[in-house]
Amino acid sequence: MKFDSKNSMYWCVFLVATIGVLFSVQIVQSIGVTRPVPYDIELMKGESAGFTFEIQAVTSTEMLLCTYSISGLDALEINFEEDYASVDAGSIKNVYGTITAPVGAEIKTYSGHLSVSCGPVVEGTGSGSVVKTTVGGSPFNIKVVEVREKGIREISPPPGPGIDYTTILIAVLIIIIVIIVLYYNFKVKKGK
Amino acid sequence: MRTKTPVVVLCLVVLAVLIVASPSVDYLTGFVTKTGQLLIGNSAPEVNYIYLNSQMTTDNPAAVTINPIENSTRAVYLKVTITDLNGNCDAFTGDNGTAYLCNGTGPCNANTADHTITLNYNATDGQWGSGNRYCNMSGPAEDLQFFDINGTWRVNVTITDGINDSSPLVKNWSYGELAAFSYAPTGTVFMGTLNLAQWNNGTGQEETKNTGNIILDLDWNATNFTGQLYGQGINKTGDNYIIDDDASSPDDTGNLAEVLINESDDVQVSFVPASGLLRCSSVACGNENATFDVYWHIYIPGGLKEDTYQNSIEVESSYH
Repeated sequence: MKFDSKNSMYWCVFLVATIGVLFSVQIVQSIGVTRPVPYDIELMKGESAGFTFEIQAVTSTEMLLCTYSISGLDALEINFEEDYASVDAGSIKNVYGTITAPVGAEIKTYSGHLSVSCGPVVEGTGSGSVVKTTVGGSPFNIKVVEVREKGIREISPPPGPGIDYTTILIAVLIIIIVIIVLYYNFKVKKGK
Repeated sequence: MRTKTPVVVLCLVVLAVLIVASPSVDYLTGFVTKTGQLLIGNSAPEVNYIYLNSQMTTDNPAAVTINPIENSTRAVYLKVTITDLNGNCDAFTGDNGTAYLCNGTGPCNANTADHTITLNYNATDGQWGSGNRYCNMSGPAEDLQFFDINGTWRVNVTITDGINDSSPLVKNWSYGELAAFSYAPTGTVFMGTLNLAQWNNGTGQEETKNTGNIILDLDWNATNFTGQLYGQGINKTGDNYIIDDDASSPDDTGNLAEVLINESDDVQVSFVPASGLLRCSSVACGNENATFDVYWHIYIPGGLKEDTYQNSIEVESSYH
């Protein structure tokens, strides 16, 4: 093809029409949410019970930041141990909460649904594209009763790392030995 | 008198013979000793308790809940405590027990089991008490799949000492509900280099898969696209951005009709098979509607600079 002014015009139009526009959408790969345990709780007015559920990011390659809520239980008080959870890629996070039946709560069965939304933890600038995956609809029923027929199951977060008294004892001993050695050296030098 | 003497002698001889012939009869001391004899037969072992992942099972399925792991397996470790009155349960090391894990509350046996575990004496936990009468038995970890059905399961354990079997002990437990799905396992939906002033159909193919054990509905919404260098935008108009399960538009060759993404960021559109996104029935997950492909058709207006454009997509699942 001869490169004349006509062809030049043709190529120009073609390039304008086909100029590359790249589209990239970042997606949270996969999350899973288990139903709260226990999922059927009986409470008398004023009582509280713990519950837990898992956020699973086993197949995710990104660290996720997740928020959660329970709809349908507005008349009850729900507190989570943490307002949000960061879930490491490839891991499972246990979330703990407490539900309380206020003294003024109506005697009835409350049907709630747990919903968890997760997105990648964006660090720095430049990306600007955050996509959320929401897993919702997990049933969670609370029965407020006059007289409880079922016991309240003990659900609480595992205790954190406690005080290691052995380590403290060893550290104290080392400090004492160091002081004695320094004191001895000081006395020896003073004696000379 | 003469006739009496032989008779007396004869009687003495008979008495002597009797004494000699019956050593257990001590005529002289007045004690009687007999040899006692009894038989101890084999005593069948007894299953006392069943533990799943260190939790003791009862008749109440809610007492033990084991949760699946998305798109993976959950290892279940089974341990039972047994009593063997013969006192040799520490020798139960050759396939001396079987545990069946069965979905549902029906009969749980070899024919209905979803998982079967062989049990043997657990040398690590060992025995307790005296005389090897109380032992721990366990088996290798059994992997439960992410798609195994949730709800009440049963565990049925029988122990054998090689001669007699224990009575089966059947308890209940729960396999938890896991709502989970994946979309774009590679982490990015790349729609490629698109053309201006025309429809770009069948872009960004990625698979959606149910990675839990709950049938899910899926709702989708998305934001406008923004250019990363020059900040130019591509706004959704309600008729320029389409989700589909095939590459063709407007003709549909897949199972699902294409759906327009709404102009508003907050309005979700349902895009999922009518059956919902079904559970996988195997690791390969080849069953219909447990996976489906997602494509995007988009009209790109003219006048945009060469750039990388990004937006946000939210996929929300709910119980079907």
